[in-house]
Amino acid sequence: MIGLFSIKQKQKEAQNANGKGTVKKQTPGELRVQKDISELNLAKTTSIHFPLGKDNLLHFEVTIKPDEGYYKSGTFVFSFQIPHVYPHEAPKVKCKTKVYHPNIDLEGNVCLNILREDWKPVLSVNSIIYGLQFLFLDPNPDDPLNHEAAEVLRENPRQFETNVQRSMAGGVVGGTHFSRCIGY
Amino acid sequence: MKNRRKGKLQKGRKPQGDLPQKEKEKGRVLDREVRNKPPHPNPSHEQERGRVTVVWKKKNPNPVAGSDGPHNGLNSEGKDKNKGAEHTEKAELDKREKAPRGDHPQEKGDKDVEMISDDENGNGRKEGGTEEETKDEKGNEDVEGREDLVEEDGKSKKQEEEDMEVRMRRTKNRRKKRKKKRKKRRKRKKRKKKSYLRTRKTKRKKTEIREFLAGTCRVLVIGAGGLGCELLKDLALSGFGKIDVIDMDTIDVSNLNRQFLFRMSDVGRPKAIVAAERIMKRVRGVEVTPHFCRIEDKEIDFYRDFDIIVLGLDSLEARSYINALVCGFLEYDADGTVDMATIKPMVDGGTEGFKGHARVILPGITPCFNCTLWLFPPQVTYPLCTLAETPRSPAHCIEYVHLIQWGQAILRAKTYNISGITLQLVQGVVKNIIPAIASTNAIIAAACALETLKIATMCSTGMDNYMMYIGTSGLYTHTVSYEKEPDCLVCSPGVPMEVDSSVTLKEFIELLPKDPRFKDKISRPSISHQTSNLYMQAPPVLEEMTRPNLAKPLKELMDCDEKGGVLNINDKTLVGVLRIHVRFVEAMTPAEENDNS
Ligand SMILES: [Zn+2]
Repeated sequence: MIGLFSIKQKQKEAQNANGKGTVKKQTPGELRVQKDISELNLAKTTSIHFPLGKDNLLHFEVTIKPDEGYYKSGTFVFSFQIPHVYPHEAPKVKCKTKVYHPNIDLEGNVCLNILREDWKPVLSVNSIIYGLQFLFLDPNPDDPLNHEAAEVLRENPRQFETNVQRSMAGGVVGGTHFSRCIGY
Repeated sequence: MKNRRKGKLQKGRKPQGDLPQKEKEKGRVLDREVRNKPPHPNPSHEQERGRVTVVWKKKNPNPVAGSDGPHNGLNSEGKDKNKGAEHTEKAELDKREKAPRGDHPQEKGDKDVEMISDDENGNGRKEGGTEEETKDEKGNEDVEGREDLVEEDGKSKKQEEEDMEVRMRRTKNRRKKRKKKRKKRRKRKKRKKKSYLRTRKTKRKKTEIREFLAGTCRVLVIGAGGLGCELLKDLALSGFGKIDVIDMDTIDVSNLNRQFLFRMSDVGRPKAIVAAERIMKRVRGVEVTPHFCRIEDKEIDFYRDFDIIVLGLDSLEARSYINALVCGFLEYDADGTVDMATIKPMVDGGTEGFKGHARVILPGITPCFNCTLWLFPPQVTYPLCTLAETPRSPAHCIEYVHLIQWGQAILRAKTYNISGITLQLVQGVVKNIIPAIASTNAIIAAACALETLKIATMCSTGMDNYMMYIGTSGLYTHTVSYEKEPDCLVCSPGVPMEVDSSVTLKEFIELLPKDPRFKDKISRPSISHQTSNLYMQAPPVLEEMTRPNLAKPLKELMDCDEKGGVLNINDKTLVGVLRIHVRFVEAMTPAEENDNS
């Protein structure tokens, strides 16, 4: 190794002379998410957007505009944060739009099994987006994060629908003010 | 094609053992020398060592002298005298042989003198030992004799005399045998000494190694926590003189039980800085440079300057970052063999409760973190809804606060006018719930420091390549030689491909499916280089953003020297990411091009 080190020393000097700059590599997480993204198969109702430019795919936003169900014509933005060890760990997904939903709490935490306990490295960003779309089509009151919303959905689906409409229009439901997310 | 590549890469582990002959020899010599002398002179230790070995060496001849004793005093006395003479002779010889060594640089000379005096001590000790042994043997003889008397009460004197004769003959024979043995042993020793003398020639190299460790070899310790404290201490005491330590944490009261470099009065101060101070205070001549920042804050060239990187981290994320960075230094020849000079060895330690691991990563030769990512168990996660609605275990409650209510921690901090609550801090606080065991840290750090020393000095064969330790029930260690992942995204060389240096990205993309090696594998590739995405086929947003690159020459996009670099290729038809090692060549003549196609 010592011999090796001295070789290195020489190389380093040579390198310095060359003025070779820094070489930053993509982490495996970046590489994998890049693959996921280049293979995205987005429905018409979904769009993706990279606020940090084309070279930072670890953070992006997905906008979902459901075209049916309780949440029809609403616009919901989710932020994705991909860990460096992706796909060893699941992406961190938050809902940036305040939404009245049994499986999404008012802080934006999303209860989706594949985001946590059922995450597997074979899953991809695409599967998560499907999962999110599904949450809007079929809210699940049996596994709630927003307890009140779940109860209303269970007891009185019609009331739930009204509540959803009111929240999306920027009204107050259950003492919480929601911002408008319809019509754009 | 792929198979052939695999074979080559799997053999790739070999170079570790296939080091140049010279290096190997050096290693062997060193090995012996280090065994004889610990690299760091610790007088008391040294003496103890000396004594122990000497006693052990001289103990063997003792029985001979002992058996001489009881039978015929005169003879044995003479023999003992002879022996004494032999010993002094030997001591003389020792001195004579060792003296020249003492003439060399002082620090060593001192030690040599010590060794000799130890030898003499040993002699003295040996004589004492002889007496004891003598008594023992005498006692045994006595008992035997008495038994004889009782049994052979009525037997004639003649018989008794015969018996005595037989016994004497037996002891004589025994004596002869022992003498032979002694001779043999002495010969062997002499031979050993001779070889030891031979190693004296490498003495200069030995000083070189010390100087190298103390002044040239730069080690970076990442993390100054439980493992880091132990590592710093171990490395400093092993002779490493230039150590850097990087840690972004500050000292917490809960650290003090195991992070022994810190005191109550240090709480709140940066770990790296305090650790560096303490080590420099306690170990003379060591220069520890602290870096109080995140590993990501440092320039990549910062890491390039170190010869060995030792990791005492607790997060997979940080390990993965360093791994990608260090593997990024690798350079490969045209045939995919690693340029040895670009290998930056890493030694990684990790502990969790009573379990721990130590591993040596020679990027490009042994598996990197990414090759063996599966070794790290996925983080335990609980369904959010369970945490929120139906918690069933204490962990659920903690996770709930950690994940869902940490926003309230901010509010609470605001109410009490406390600043500095970040998700990171919350995670840090939550992480401390996992018990950290000081002894596990000590054991793992010791293993890591030893491996570091071995890498730096080649004094012995390094660990190959992963050691796990379990201390829950007794002590269990197990060393496994993990295999490198041939297609690893981080450390594999990539498929070599020669490309005209004037080719544009668009042309390159069209070239790929034509290459027989990528046939049916690549149709619409997305390409990235280092951290930039050169071209993305989808989604439309990204396609649009990267489209201008298509017309640019690949060489310009890769922003590299003449040699080339590794491109990462994504394609729907590819299972994983394909790495292509592009090598730029000057424009080929049409004839050559025809040959190629
Ligand atoms: Zn690897």
